Amino acid sequence: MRAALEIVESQCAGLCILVVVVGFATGCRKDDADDVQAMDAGSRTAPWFVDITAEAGLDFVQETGATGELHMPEVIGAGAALWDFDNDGDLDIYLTNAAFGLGSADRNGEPRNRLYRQEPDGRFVDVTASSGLGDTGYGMGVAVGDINNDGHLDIYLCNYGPDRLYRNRGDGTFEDITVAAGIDVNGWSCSASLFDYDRDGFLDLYVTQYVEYDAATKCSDFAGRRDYCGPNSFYGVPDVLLRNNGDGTFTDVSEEAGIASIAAPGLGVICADLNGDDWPDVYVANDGKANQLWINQGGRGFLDEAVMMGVALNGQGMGEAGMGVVVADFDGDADFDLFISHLGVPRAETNTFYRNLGGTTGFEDATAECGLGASSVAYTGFGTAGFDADLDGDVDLFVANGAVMRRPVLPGSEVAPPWDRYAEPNLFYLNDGTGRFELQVVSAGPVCTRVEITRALATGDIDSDGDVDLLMSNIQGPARLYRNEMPRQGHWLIVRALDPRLRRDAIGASVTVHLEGRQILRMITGGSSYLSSSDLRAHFGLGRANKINRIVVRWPDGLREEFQVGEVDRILELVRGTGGPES
Amino acid sequence: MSQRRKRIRPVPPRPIVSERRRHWGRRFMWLAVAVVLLGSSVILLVHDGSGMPEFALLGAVAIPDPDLAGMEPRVSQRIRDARAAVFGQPSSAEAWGRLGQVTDIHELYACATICYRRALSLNGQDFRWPYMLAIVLERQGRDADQVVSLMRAAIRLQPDYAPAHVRLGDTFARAGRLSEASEAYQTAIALDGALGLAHRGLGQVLLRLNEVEAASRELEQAVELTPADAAAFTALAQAYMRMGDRQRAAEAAAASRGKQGVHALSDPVWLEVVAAGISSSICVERGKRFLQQSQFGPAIREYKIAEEVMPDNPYIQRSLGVAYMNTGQWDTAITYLSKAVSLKQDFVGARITLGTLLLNQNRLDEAITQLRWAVEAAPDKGDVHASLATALAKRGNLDDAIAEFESAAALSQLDAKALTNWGTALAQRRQISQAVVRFGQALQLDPDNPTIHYNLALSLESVGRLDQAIEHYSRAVEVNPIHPASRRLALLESRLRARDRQTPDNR
Repeated sequence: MRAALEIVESQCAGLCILVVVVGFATGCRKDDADDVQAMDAGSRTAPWFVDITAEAGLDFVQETGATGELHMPEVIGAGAALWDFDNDGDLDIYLTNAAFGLGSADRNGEPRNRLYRQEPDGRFVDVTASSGLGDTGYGMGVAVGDINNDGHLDIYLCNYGPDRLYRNRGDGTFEDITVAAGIDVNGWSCSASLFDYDRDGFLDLYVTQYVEYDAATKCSDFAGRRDYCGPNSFYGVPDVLLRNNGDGTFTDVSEEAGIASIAAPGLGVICADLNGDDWPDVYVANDGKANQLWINQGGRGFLDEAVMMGVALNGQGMGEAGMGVVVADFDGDADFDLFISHLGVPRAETNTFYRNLGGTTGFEDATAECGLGASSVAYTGFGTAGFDADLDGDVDLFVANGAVMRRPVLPGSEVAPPWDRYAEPNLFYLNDGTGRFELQVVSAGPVCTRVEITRALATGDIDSDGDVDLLMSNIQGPARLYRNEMPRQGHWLIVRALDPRLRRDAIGASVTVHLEGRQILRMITGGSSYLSSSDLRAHFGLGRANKINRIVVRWPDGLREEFQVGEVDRILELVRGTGGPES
Repeated sequence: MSQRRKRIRPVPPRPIVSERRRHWGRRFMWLAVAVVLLGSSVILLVHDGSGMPEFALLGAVAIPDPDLAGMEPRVSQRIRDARAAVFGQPSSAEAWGRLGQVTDIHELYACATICYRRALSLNGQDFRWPYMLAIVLERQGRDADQVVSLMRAAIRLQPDYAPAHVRLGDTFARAGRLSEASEAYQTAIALDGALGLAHRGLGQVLLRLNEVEAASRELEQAVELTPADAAAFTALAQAYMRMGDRQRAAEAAAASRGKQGVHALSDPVWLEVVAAGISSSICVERGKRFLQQSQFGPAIREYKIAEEVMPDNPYIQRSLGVAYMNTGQWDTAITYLSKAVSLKQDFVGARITLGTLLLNQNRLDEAITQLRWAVEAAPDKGDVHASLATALAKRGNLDDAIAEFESAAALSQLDAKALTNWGTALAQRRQISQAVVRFGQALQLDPDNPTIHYNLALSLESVGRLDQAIEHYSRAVEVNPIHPASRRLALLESRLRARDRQTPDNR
């Protein structure tokens, strides 16, 4: 309480202090301050996440190209990826930018996406020009994966407008192969995920489609003030499934796979085996409509079973404004749970946590029981990630926030008008080991107290020190890189699962680390959450365990293989075929 | 495991008591300073430019003065009026409450909170103020205890108001206080057993409590009482799934997909707040709801208000067209739908509605223009192909009509009407055997339709299948004794009698 009040006071002067006092006298300002006070559950020691954006040389600033016409894509976009495009063992950065194409004839100085290569000293160098990845489409999300099994990560760009697929030549340059690959996705793509839905060894693409946006449509809020339109002003659009033919081309199989049977405003997506049948499924977070859980029918197509599985609507039957989605074993019971970020004020949705009940029974909304409800109502969540921030062996949770409808300017906003009305702080929750979460905003530091309009959130161990760092994209603002400096509660392990036949990361594999008396489950995904793609390696906090009994990898085709590794605190490469049968 | 980890994790320091006291001391010091400053002026405006309400101070009472910049004039005027009423009667709970309602519905929640609080302090016996205050606080994500306390205060004032118990149950459910939620829903059901949302809420809570069979019973009641509530079907699907009944789960899930969404709580007290809304967005929302409920008059009223603010919004024009169409005011409907299409050339939905309406009005050329456009823009909609085919058939363009019917049938299951029109076009092209097939299919879908029997009989008669023709004429007459089939039947029977008389056996 006290710390939050000090924040309010320290950012005000003169009359502003009076505002606080008057607020206390009348009850008004106190209410408004409650939003901040409610968040405060930590100490004021050194921040757990340190902003290293400047020292790392990351100088990207997202430009919306806004002209005051309030075009909807302006408030949706800004994707981010953490990936090792040059195979040098460290993570590089890719960030999408918007364009001046909406409502402006100004094509000069067009914003571009940018690629940053990490140097051995940890600094990031802009290599956009030499790489050929300076795409000028109106950028949304990013998905990363090796689509031609040549050992180099390729990149798919979701745009408002034609999407793009770039092939990594392996020499630091990329080639736009969109047309050659037969890809013609030209609507409003948001997030994409690479996965091998038919298990033929080649990564396919699932691309969420948002709405049939009409730039001429003007919208206003409930008080009649012009504001960005919401998804209900337009028709939703069916998502797209692109099957990799294995010869460098893709075929749009949305119709035959059943995906095109539902038109909804899709934003976030994640591909994972959610019913334990060894076939990857697809979960799509829709904006204001029921979500989809596309259950894979043995590689032949998909059926939406979200309603039956309890993940279409929240526990009270409300369709929420789904943005980002993360799959992780939050409660440590060896199955994957779901967490989805949502719209906050003025719609007052919580973010929602769906606990996996096991088997094919489905999920239940356990948001309140897990302590994730009330704290999220005040903000609109987008990018989200589940990772073991303090290495204690459980999955903690981060939610990147930023409004899509104007709201009162929050104290500490670092964004210039008119965008300051959309800026919000982020949320960081620590898992207590049982699947209950506690908000830790002040302790987390600027990553949470800074008030910006954050969208994508990508995670990965940027400095190879064994913990998970954060990359965030902001609307009309700088991308931010935060180094994890949390006090460590245990040992760690990073696993890269490789399939030598395919010469690439085993996207879709799950990795279980068996320790004395417990096991920890992680998944390898190719694009998830919201507009983002994270480190393809699985990260484990191990708590006090200093010895690993065994690691079991469930490869994407269902084969289980066991590896004996023993030691902790290192980065491992587990190569398919070099382990033994599961004991 | 958790305990073990808790020991190794550093416990974040909490504010200690002395700090808190010091802190409160500081608050009071500032409060004293503020009182001195405030006392020196009658009206002091403080505003941080953030959209937070300003305060005009009248004596000791602060009247919120929200930033009205950019609002629609009728909204700002309504707020000014409500505010003026408070100035006029600063100790009127009604005036404060009204300002609360007006700001609440326009999503100025901080202001609404202040106003409801003030109304409550002025009249603690009026159920509405704690009730609305609880709702607005919950909408801002405030602490559940605070909301519960206010809702309970409201319930003490009006214990038999079932919607309050449903809302209390919802609050408990959101906070994960499931047994208390269950109690609240049960109280609501005891007060009004027909309250489907209370049964649904109770069912959802029981599901979370893993009392699956009890949940399914409640949810079955919920879907019976509120068959339009998708949320109830959704929860029922989950209950069946957890009971291992995948078949019934799939059926309930399928049923949920056809519903409009979450059924709104019937809450007359809250409707007072809703009625205070005047912005075009609110009118559109209300209009949508009225349309969904087939209340076309009120829908027109709402959309007309919205139209004043946004005359060039094609969606409002289309909605007005749809509402007028459903009240039988065809020409007005056509005017609005035409405007929607002119404002948004690629508005497929509006073109389909307009085309269908023009078809029904026999304005065939115009209908064909709209429907052709729609078919080109959305070639996968079988029903639109069928409408176009019908228009073409009526226009006498039989070959094109038949081709469109074929396209329609390839895309979707045709209804009896489309099959009949298809059959008619085929019959007119003298493709009788195919026509008979289509009429037969139509009869499978609508076995008592006299027109289909009649058309089929005509086709059969034309190819000399007279007994069958008589059978279907007779069926048409049986269903509708004054159907033209009766004349055809009489003629045919007379012809047959004459023929029989002329046969050699009878000579």
